[in-house]
Amino acid sequence: MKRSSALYITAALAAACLFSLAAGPAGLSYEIIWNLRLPRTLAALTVGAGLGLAGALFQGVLKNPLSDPYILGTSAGATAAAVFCFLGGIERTSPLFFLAVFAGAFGATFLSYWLARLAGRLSDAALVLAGVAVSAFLTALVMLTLSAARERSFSLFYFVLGGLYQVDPGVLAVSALITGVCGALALARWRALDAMALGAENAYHLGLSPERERMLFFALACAATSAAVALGGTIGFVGLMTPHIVRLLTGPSARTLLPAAALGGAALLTAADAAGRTLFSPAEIPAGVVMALAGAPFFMWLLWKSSRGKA
Amino acid sequence: MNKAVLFLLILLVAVPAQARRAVSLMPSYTEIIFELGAGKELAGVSNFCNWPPETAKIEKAGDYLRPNIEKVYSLKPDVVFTGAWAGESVVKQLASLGVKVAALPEEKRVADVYSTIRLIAAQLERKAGGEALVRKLSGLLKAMPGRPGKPLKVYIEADAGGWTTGSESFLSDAVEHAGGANVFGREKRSYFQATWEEVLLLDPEAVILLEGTEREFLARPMARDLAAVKAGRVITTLNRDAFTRPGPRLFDEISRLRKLLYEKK
Repeated sequence: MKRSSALYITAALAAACLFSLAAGPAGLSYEIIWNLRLPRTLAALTVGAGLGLAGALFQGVLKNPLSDPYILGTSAGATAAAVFCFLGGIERTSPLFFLAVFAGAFGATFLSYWLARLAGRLSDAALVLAGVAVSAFLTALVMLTLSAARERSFSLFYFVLGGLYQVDPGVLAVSALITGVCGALALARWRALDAMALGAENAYHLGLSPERERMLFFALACAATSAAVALGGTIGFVGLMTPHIVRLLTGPSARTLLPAAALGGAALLTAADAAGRTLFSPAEIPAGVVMALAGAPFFMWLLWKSSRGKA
Repeated sequence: MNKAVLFLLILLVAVPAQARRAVSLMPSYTEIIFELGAGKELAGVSNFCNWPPETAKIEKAGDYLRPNIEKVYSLKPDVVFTGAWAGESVVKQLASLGVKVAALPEEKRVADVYSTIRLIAAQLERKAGGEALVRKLSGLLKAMPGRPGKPLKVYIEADAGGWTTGSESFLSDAVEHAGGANVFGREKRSYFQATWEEVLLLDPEAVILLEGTEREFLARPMARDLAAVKAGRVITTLNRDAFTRPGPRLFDEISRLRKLLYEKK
């Protein structure tokens, strides 16, 4: 089981990379592959891995199959911070930009958490509900800003929509580094995450401080989401879908789920971006739109398949 | 007797006050109406109308896709100019309120601006002025010198991130009038996001950037290999509003583009 599931995920990743590198109007031109498709493929891999990882972390730590960076307001916080940075003249290459985006992501996630705590004893359902409210408010704030901003509102709108048209090598390097470090740190604490998945009380009885663990995994998931948003804007469904898909192969333990979710997310987004570039060529469909189009039906298919499996 | 004189006086004063009230929901229509000398008849314009500067003082009534119907109605217009393509629901809603709507067809070629001018002039009873404006604008195009040799291949980036136009937009035709050939001229679409790889393959000899800077453009992968960049023909100085609105200012921009493309710096 373990070996074959690793094989499936590696094969999917290899196929997505091959598709992304080989498909395009210029055919198999070495120059185009090296200068154009390779950076873009690496960017898609990074964004996908970050979102897949964040999704697996949130779902694990909250014991909730519907949590992901979008539901909890993490992406909305990161996006809002990014849009305000752009309008304030802080560009993506500035270290301040990454700090601001992380602050936005963590702030929004923490706000959801704090709101949920107000209701008394923290329930995961209340957290998700609070996340929806925070997310909706921040998204409305971004839309208001975009409606009011005369200059650049069009390109900012497409940043919000999500896509990888223009990849800055510096941003790619920093985002990849952040995602890699987050993945390594999270994987090093897989036992704690598994304990959290049993419920906060069980984690406490296992000698962990659930509160501290939760904040730590939140921070890691927020950092991974920020790296993804800084590079590719708001791209949905990767964080929600990927853990569900790979869990069918790896089982629930974080030790295998976290790397599988990162690799699976990378494969998924790379394929989506390559499809967006090639399906209606020479017109390009942003990866965020492709993910939204493919994500929902795929999720339904997944539900249908799992219900048949149980019957 | 005195009362009769007073009544006549009131009538005389009141009749000019009954001058036509028009609302324009498109920036290009607003510019045409001002060129026809009918700017004073505009009771309302769209939120995007920013030329000529006098529009700043005119009531804003939303934009062409989502006009503020109540606002338009409250301006008591005799006629509302909007794009026929902007959506039937707008026209229907206004018509159901008893507002007369002139829904004008979309301009797909530069010459379509002439028909728009004629339609607006007819509504405003300024047919002679309309013909004069058409003569003036078409004269500008005719006065341009012929291009030397083959047309340059031009890539138009209307919005940053590869947003360009195919043959279904007047921008493609505008580039042809300036002596160029749109690299995406064979695409039967108006506005779309082109993949960067396709732009590299088509290797334009001139690039028109309507948004974004040359520095940002040159930072894209392999941008420096483009013939346009090697020849120093990355054009960033066109007036975005004037060039992207099918109105009177488009013609000046076409002559400027002609110079930027073919005259030695």
